Amino acid sequence: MNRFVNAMWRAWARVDTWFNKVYPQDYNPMYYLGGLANLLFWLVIGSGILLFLYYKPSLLHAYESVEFLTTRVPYGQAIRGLHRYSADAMVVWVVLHFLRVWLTDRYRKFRTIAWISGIVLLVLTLTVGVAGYLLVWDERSLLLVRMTQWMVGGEQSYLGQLLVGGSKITDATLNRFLFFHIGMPFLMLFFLWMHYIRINRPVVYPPAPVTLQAFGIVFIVCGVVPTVSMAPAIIEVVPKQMQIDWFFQWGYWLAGVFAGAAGANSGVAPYVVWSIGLLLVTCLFFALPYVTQTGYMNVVKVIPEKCTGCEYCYVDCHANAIKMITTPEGINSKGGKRSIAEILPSRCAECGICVGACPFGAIELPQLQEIEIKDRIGLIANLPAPEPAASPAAD
Amino acid sequence: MRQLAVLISVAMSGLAVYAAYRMLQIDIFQVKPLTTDLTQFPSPQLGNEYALWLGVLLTAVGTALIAYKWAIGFDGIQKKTYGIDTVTGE
Repeated sequence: MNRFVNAMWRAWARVDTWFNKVYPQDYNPMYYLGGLANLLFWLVIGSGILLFLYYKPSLLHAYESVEFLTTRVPYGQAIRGLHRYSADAMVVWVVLHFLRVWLTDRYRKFRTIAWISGIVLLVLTLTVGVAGYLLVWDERSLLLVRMTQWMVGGEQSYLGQLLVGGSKITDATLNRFLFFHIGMPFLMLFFLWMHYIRINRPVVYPPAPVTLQAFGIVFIVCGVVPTVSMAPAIIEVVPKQMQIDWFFQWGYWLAGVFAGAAGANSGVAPYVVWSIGLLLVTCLFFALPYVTQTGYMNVVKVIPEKCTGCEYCYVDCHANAIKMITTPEGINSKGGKRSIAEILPSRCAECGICVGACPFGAIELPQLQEIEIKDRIGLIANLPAPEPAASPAAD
Repeated sequence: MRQLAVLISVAMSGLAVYAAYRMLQIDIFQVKPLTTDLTQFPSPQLGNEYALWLGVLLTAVGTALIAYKWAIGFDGIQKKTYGIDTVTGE
């Protein structure tokens, strides 16, 4: 597994290098994968609000309202295309962001919360997207509803009835999917907040040129590949085929493959096989930061006697691992209570940035000398190595 | 490299102006009930054409800005832009 991850990490570094040849480093889109996904999320929300104004969630009128929107409302098809293709692009950036974080080993320790919330966001993104396809109420929607029922154990199963709003497809079915499609993004907002909470100054949006390119490409695609529906759904007739949107519907294809593989020679219901498989994979990714946890080896320490409360370390810490606390002893330059830095060990990245930031030598990494840290920072920043401190004997 | 960046920047600016011109050619208030094939392209009524040129405009402006950054930031002596070797990427 380690060899696989290392190989993937090297491949990723090559992609980064290639992009750095084309883009200036501060505009490299590979450094803004999460920001691009976030940006497209807002584009999906904005276009979705416009679509929602025309949508009628009932079996009789849903298809008709989508067609009206597409053909009669000025620029309706373009806005529908914008909604669809920005959602597709969002999936691409979210998956790339997930892979980058995983393969560059940035999911453990103080990043655990961001990782867990990120996995939840990935699952929610896919679920919300699939629910959107069901709202059109064309042949593809009907087939997806039937497959969803089958995947959760059939029309009469508890989950089947919960998802579809009863044992039969009614207006309640579309209302329920509309809730999934619109309600879950609010849940996503909560998890986005969790995703950012531990990061000091998160890069939420990419720089303007990258933003323009990302938006531009989505607009070009929705101009060149018009979004159209399939034939309207007729409940009594189950369509045999559909065009798969690989960004969202690969799960249905996978379920079919698993079912085909397991159904022939076992008495186990096919949906049990795929759902356990999916659950296992999801649980594995949830557990990854805990399974591979190495423990904290070199958390920084504050030397209270030297700390002046200047807040340089507090501002520079990217992991929000430093907080300023007031002390009963002493006063600051403004006559108020003196404050000093305190380390939150579970959030410490052991990176030493705060050590470099402190001009008073009040923070130390117990297993690393300050001179070594400044040497490392100098190497990264291409600066000359620091002069070693003069010994008292030399004076 | 610098010359190429300037060339790309100028070309993309030109493309952006052309895209803006094409967008202005479209009467955005033209609304007609459609009886045509939905997959028709380009279709001013459906918004396809406007979306296409808007996309071209945004992409061209973004690319022009990136090329401009290369043009002003590229160090022809060190073959580096902002400390990155453009040959090895390191």
